[in-house]
Amino acid sequence: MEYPITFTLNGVKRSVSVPADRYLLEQLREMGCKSVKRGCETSGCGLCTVWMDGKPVLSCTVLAVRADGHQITTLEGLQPEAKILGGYLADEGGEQCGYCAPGLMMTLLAMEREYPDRAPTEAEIRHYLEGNLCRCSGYESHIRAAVAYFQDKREVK
Amino acid sequence: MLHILNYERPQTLEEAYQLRQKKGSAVLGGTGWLRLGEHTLRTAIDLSGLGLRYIKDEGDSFLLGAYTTLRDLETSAPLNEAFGGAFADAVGSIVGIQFRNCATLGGSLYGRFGFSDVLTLLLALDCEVHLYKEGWVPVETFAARNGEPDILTELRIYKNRRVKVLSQRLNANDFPSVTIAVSKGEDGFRSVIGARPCRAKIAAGPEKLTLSTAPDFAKKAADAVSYGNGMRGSAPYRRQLAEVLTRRAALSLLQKEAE
Repeated sequence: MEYPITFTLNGVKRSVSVPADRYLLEQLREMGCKSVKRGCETSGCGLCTVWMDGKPVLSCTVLAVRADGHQITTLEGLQPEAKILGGYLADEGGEQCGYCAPGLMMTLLAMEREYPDRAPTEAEIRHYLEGNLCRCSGYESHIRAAVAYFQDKREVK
Repeated sequence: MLHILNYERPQTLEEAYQLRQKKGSAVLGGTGWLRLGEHTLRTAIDLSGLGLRYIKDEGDSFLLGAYTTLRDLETSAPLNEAFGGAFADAVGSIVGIQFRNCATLGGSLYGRFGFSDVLTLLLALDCEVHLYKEGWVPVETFAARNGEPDILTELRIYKNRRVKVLSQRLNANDFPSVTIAVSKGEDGFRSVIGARPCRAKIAAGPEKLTLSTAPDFAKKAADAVSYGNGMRGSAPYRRQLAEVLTRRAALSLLQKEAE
């Protein structure tokens, strides 16, 4: 049985019908959001991170029916910011295979909104990123990129 | 693999309760663990439209809605001020921010998961669980049961105890090898040990403690419950961890009191 849902995807209202047991990950990829990566599919790796009402969630374990009435944002909807943040990751060697990068960026950009008045500390960044796994960078390059990104953004502000 | 035959989003608690009486029904929490097993739900009940996400300061207690997320518990300033940051400590290592933005207090409690940090903390506090039909139930009574066809609506947590939670994990956001909570109220100290890997349980107390009697209290608490072997630790290792962490938590509360 399919259920009609209406939600805002990257600023555009969309209406679709979904089976009750379809996860948001599959639905978003089917709708063309290929930045949403399939990883562990058991809540463990953060590759599939998207925003629901501005908060990062794991689309691999959120049911698509639960998107009904909510705002869903993927990296496709944050391209200008993604380009800037991606530059910091590249500068610090944090790209490597790049498979974890969309989820990582979604988490970091959500963090930026949770700290409107100051740059988060390195410890806060490490804590915030605990749900984003990476198999090639060793994380240090991610942390360096995030620290530099937040510091520079703060100076601009 | 998850199969949901019918998905329902009730508009009232009575409607939710009636749906819950159906065979094969279940209330959806944060759904974060649904993929860890095989589930076929004839009726999945989504309570997200019932306004059950709140933290209300009621003076001598807090009222927390069942759909309050673990991230809400982690970031609530009033809740963490009242309990010395214990809620942030208890949930801050659970998977990641994204997971905690979805995982609900009600789901964590109703699941009575053996690995639960949340249940361990709540058993150390004076806390009651509200079920729609049954009414208020002490959390220790609720925790000892095996699921009921009722609707968990909210929790009341009294502010009368100070608490310290500690856990040991193989890495930062893994399931705990063991998790403990020690609290102090007017009646003395209480110790809870969870992730043994069995369901959390009150292990010792209430009992008055001093710096010199805290080690014996920790030993007694660690000896009072059983432990299992698993990929996150052997039973003797877990027992040893439980004693050390219980002692540290009790001493921490005593030292804070002395300050």
